[in-house]
Amino acid sequence: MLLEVAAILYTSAPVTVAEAIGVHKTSVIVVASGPLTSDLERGEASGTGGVVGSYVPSAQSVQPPLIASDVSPSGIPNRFLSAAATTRVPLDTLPTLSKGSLLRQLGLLPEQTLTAYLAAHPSTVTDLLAAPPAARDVTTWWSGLSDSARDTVNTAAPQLIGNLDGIPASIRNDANQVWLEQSITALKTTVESSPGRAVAAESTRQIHMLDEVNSALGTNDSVPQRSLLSLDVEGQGRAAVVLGDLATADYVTYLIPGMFFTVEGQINDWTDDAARIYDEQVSWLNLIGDNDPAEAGKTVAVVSWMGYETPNLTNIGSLELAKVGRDAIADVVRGLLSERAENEPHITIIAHSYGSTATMMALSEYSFEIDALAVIGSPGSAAQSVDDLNVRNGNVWVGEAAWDPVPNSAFFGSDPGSPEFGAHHLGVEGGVDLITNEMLSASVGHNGYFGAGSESVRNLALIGIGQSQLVTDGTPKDTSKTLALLN
Amino acid sequence: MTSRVYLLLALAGSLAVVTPALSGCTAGNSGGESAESARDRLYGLLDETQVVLGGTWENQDDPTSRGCVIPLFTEGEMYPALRVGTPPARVAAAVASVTTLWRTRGYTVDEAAIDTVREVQAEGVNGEIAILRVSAEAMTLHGESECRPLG
Repeated sequence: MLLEVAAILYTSAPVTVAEAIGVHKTSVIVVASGPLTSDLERGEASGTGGVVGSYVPSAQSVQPPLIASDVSPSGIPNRFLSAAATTRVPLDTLPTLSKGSLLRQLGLLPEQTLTAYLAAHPSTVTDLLAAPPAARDVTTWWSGLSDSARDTVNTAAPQLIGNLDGIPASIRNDANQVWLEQSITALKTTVESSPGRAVAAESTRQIHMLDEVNSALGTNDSVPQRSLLSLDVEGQGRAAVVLGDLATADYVTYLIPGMFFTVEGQINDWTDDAARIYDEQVSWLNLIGDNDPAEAGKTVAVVSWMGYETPNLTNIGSLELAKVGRDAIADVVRGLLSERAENEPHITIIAHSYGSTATMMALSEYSFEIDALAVIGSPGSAAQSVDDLNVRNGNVWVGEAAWDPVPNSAFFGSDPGSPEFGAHHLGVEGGVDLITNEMLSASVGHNGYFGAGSESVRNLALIGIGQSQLVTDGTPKDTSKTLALLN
Repeated sequence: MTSRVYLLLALAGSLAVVTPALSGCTAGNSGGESAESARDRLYGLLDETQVVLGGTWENQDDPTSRGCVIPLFTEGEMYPALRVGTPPARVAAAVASVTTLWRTRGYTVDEAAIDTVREVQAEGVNGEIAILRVSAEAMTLHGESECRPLG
């Protein structure tokens, strides 16, 4: 048995892993102008699966006449706190507001007042980000702000703007770049001034983690340009690096990682894998673009997404982190859907290992839809079939590499690779050379799915650009996907 | 031993192989060559290939290096390349000429076809990869240079 495990350990390349408030109060004389908008608050997904409905209207969505439930805990009628509200409420009532109302009020404060308020209430931003308003409400809020108000919030709270799903990616990148630099500066100050070695050591580790994020962002010369979609500097950290332009890309692919992934240890490698998918997609879009006018000129964006804390050996058997990942995945996709409501892109998720569990939970417990899902090295989820997943046209693919012990385990529920599940098989074995009949480069082991030139990367890329008909599965059907070109 | 215990042990093993291993990238050793020198060698091969194929090419080479691992346990870096070209006069002739060129240069060459696209893949002895894809409508060249130790 141990020999078997040892063999598995070395089926992939071994690598060392470490891995003032002197703020004046404002009178409450508020008149809502225009129609009231709904104030939807973030809904909670069922932790047990099967319950769809991510948005739960709060009492604030109730329209006049004014009733008890239409009043916020501060006693202020919630309709006065709608997106159309233009006047501030007393600062000391802000902590009592719902997240959506709080966000709107922050957008009304002058820069000096906002900066002072956030300094006096440092948990405001982190609390908002821990349970943010629905992405579409964020989009509505942001689009309703004046340029000066946007500048004010951006300057006073880059961490908030950089990490709120529903705000345009380019704005978030600018804010996150500022937040990144501010964080590094603050941590260096801590290292230099801290009397305790433990604090200094932790700050040094965080600096290293943020340096890795900086490295993953490439340079101004990187092709394509990279941007920072999200950044959390606490704990293991969270970050998402975008290759391409999320605002305009026709095809958007998210790469969701699994166990043992930390920002400090793997953000660069995960972004490298995203870059390989990007290159493959650009290659294929050019090759088929002239053949298919509908595809000509289309563009891609790939997101190296490390937006949840992945498990390690101490908690790999639990679904707790998968639930956090589930919610974060739902947030980021709904954020894109909200930003691109008028020009919705083709959205694909490629999820590896434990990340596939979190992803399938999101796709079965939330109501948003994506266009394609590819899971590789998956330990399963509670979803019993592709019909349980909100993926259009059942466009679900499963890849299982040789010597990967995780697929077929159904550790967290069903096995997505089983025939009953109904997913398509994604070839990762390498295929066969047309002339020599030799096997092409195959993916081997739990971490071997992203090798350059592999059948796995090619197939994953094709799924991401809506070319599923070209995906090979290692069966005789593949021959029908090839032409007699050896003429 | 239960399947769950087996799985946990196997997952534990993955702790030792996560990260650059995701790419499946390992490489051998070709003396004291730097990653930049290996990159220039790949660029040179692709430049030569473009000349053989003719047509007009757009260079989208990303100057950002990628991580990799050199046995044993040595962190390294490599560089990617991506070029997009106008369609060839004849697909089969393009494939044949590049196959010959790459074999002449000492690469192991494999060939595949996916729908209307012909794919030729070359691998150097130390893991350098170059891929030509040709259809009647376009050509692309991309790849990754040999993995070399971090400078």
